[in-house]
Amino acid sequence: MSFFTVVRTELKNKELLIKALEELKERGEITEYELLPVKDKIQVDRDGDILTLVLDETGCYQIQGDARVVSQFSKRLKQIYAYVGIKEHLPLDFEIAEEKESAGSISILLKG
Amino acid sequence: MLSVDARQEKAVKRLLNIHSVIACSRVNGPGSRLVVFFQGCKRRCQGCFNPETHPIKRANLYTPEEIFHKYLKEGTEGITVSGGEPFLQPEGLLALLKEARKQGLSTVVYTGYRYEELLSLKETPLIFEHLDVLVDGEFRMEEKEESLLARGSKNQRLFFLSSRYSLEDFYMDGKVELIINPDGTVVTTGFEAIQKNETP
Repeated sequence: MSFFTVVRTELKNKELLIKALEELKERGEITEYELLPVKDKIQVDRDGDILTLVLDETGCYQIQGDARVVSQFSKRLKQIYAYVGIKEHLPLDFEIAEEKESAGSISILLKG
Repeated sequence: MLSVDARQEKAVKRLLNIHSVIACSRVNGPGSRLVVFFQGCKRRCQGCFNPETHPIKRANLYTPEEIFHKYLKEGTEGITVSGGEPFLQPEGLLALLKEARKQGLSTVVYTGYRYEELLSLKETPLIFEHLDVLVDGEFRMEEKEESLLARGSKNQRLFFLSSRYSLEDFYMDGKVELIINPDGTVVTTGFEAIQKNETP
């Protein structure tokens, strides 16, 4: 039997969140982002749609803005946040053998 | 003609009690595969990768057709049945394999039973008729498979029941696969457990 787990992604780590936004910017999926002087707020410009990431009382970042855009962007941000998180926290005894993005999913193969 | 009761009984036996499904995996056998994890196992192998599949309780009930309708993606080469113990639901397993074949998919089943033990089960000959590869035997932590061969431990044997595959097809490109779904959920699968809750 093979191993199976599912983990839900929550936007908890500010450093990773910024790395995820940087990754989205490099991929051309957001125009710009800015750390606001107000504590723990990040503003994102997504091709003219302005979204704000706000730290809530549970310690997770929530996205505020136009409801139509928020749902779609929230999913993509979580996916890229998980992606950069995996790359940052790869166990030392594993290396990436292959990486692929298809049908909306990102697949990473690890060699032990 | 079957009576209403007989038809209902037949329909219930085709229902599968499933722990989870991965729509597309590349480390659970050759090519891109739909992986179905059955719920329920009595073995309790020490160090089992999936203890949450052990309880014999109702999890998610599906007909084989529902599984393929919901999860089958274009380009899928085959189905891999894992668990849990698939042979604890022999009629459902047979129905699933028959439907897989109807869809043109190859079939692989992992079981904790040994091949010889399965021969006493009345459904086995028909199941084997619809099966390309059987991987048998309990998981033994002390014999853990270190290579990229798609099995948990070295005592587990691969039986090629058709000419479709050979041993070299079961050497994977990776030991572990991380699938990041479009909603951000991360599915981890493969034959080496990495630390759970890895995602920060």
